[in-house]
Amino acid sequence: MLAEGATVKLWLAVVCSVLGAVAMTHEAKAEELLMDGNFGVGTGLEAGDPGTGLQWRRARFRVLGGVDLRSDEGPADALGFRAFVEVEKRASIGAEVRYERWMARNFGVWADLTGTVAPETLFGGGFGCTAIIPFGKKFGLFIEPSFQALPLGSDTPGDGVLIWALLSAGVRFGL
Amino acid sequence: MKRWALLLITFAIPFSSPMACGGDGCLRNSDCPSDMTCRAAVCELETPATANGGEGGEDSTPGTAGSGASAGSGGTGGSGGTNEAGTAGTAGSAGTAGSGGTAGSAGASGSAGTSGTASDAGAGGASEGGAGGAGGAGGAGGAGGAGGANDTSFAGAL
Repeated sequence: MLAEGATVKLWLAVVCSVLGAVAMTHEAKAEELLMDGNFGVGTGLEAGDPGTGLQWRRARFRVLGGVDLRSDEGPADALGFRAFVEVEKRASIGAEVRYERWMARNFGVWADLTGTVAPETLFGGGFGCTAIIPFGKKFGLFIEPSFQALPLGSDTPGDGVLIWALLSAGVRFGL
Repeated sequence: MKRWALLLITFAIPFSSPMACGGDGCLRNSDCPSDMTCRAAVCELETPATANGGEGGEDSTPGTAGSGASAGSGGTGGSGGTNEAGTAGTAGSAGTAGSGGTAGSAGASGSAGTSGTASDAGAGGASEGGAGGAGGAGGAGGAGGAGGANDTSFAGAL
């Protein structure tokens, strides 16, 4: 009789514990992907050694667009994709993928892999930062200085390294 | 408004730079037309050597043809007979086309030589034979036409 009472108490304690644990849990929330669009223009300086020593010149004017993807669970980390078209002289098409780390709501730094695919190939990497001037909750202007070194591809000057020091700006909007 | 002005100034700086984007020189291969490549900051043809060599060969061929044609000048007329005019020299035969000359055309046949004027009968003057036909001109590489040989005849003995 005494043993039966202890068993019932034990089961009662287990059931209460389970119920308490279930009651304390919050509703599970699915991870949500945050997306921001970008569209802008850019130019800057371009350097390379075509066989006559290092030469600097103004970089080709470019039009760029892309998206930044982040998770709402870790909004400080983002993955960015950009496509760009250099529209001076012979037009060239390129793209980049970047890892972004947002230090504040309106300021982030990033590192990227970039290059062009047509009419000649060019590949390399670099880093930069993005500052946003907000206009409302979902809209803003971005300014983006960057530095890139591109040692690979058929478009390199004299098989050397092409350097881009660029400044881009445009609009940024939440999607 | 101030923000927009700052943005405008920021972008105006690189556009007003004296360093033109490319200019006459090049920095990347894509600065040049598709059939050219960037070498030592200058756009050059991708295959420059073979094309120029071929053109040089063509230049040398017509020179040879010209010399061939000059050989085709008609022979000078034979000395005239005393009484009978010498018959006209036969026209120089046309030069044959030179070997290998692509642009050269066959030389035109020489014109017939004019007949020699008859000398006064009995005077014994030797009339001059007609001039030989001129050789074919312009045969590319062709051997010049042989000058026409004048028949020389002798009219009355002195």
